[in-house]
Amino acid sequence: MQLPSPGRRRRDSAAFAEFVQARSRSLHRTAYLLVGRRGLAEDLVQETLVKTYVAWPRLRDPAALDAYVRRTMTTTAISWSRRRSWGETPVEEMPDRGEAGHAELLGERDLVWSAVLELPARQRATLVLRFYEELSVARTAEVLGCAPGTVKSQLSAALSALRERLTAHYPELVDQLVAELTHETAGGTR
Amino acid sequence: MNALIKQTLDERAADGPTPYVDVAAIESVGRQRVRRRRVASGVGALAVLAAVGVATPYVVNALGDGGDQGQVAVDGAAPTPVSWSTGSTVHLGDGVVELPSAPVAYVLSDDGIVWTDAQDGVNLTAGGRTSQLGVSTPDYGRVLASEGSLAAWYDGNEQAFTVVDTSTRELVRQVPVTLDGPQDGEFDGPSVRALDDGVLWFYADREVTGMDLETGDVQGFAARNSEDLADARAGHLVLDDRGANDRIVTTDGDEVGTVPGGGRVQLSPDARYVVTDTNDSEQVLDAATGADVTPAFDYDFQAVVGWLDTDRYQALALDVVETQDGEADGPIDFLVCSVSAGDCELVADDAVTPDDEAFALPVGESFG
Repeated sequence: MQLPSPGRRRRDSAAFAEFVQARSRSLHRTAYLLVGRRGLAEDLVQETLVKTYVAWPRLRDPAALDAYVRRTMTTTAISWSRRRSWGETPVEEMPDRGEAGHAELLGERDLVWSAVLELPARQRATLVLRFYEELSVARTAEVLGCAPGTVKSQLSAALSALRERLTAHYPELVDQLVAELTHETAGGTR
Repeated sequence: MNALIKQTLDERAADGPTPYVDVAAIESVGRQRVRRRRVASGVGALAVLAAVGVATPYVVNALGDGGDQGQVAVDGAAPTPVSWSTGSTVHLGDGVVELPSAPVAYVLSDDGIVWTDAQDGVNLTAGGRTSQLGVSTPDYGRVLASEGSLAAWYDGNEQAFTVVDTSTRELVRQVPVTLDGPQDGEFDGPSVRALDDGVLWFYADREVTGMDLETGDVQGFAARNSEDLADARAGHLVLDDRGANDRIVTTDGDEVGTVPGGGRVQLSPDARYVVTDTNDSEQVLDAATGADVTPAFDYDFQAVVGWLDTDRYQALALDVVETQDGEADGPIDFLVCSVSAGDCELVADDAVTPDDEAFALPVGESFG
């Protein structure tokens, strides 16, 4: 029997395994930034790869594959946050500015990370896509399935949340963040 | 760039081992998920199939149990039924029609099934009866076209394009063709391209012509050198120059847009959407904007068979299966996909298997 079109798509196990091997490290890193827990990040990577395997026949174009994987991981993480409690994970107590030795206990980046972990999932995802994945506003919007203006508003919301979280303790750090995030929300691209 | 945030994220991301990923386990879960979706989607699909059959008068007519129902006019908005054939059995909606022999190619008209047999006869099966309408000619590509009660083909004996009203079996128009010089072989033989709004579009002698069946006026269109007509619907034409892009124009010559060409391209009944197969599995695009509006599907391969109405189309889908000799095409399922809903429903599971000797779809072409 001859089928009525020459086009064929297959789930090529070797190609999929090669893809997993090549991308595993970067997927785990991004997943960790999205969910903030190592074990949950492993689950997120596995779920993303299962979905990718199901969609594999229509993802021959490398650009389409990358976009699909990124979008799947991000949207899955966001949807999980609605069902699971990982988005509400308590973070370290913010140290009092006047408390002796706080700088030694908690570095600058630890503070930022703690504040990032408290962001709502979508805002955190926007931050990860823009700052870690270094996507443009337009590409970030494609991944999140929203308008570029929404990406900017999400970044603005993230800024407000970070400011509220940090301002009482580190106003100079907030000033720095405000300046830099204002540049980002104004449409700066990478 | 916000150096502090980026440094923080980079540092956190890199801080930890990369866990082992069990690819085999992922593939196993993925295969289970594919199977589960196919089974689950089939449950709701039976109702859709039944609804299509009930709403389509010519299903009853072709089945032959409707008496004079063959004369019932079909509302132009009535959906076309899902259809395919294996052997001499034509599936129409939720019914089947047994033809005297296996169709080589077939189309559906308002009044029944118009089909060609192995001897190039053009036949009409309606109301339980089969009668020969004429003779076709072997050709590559489309040999039959239909619209409403009209059916058209190129009659090799008469060397003329022939249009018959299947409700009356009367000849509507015959268009003689004078072939100037040798043709380039089967790919360039005379062939019907489409019937659209009372206009017969045909290809002969390296030219595409549109003839108004009522007046006999020949319609021209802004074709460029070597352009062929891929499809005609609702006064819109898809012009194929065998290049990267096909042009969509109106019969008035207005440019509507372009679509990736190179394969089979077809318009929806209202010309709002256009199907192209350049991306292996076919894509449904908005004809005006080019936006990809392909409904989600979950198969290794999918092809659009034809449009059921202005929103839904019948699709053929299959997965590649593992055999002792390697990989092979699995059984064919048929889906009904809705552009507005963005998804597809399984309406016929394993409808055609690799063991089926004769297989045809209602597109007027032979796949043998």
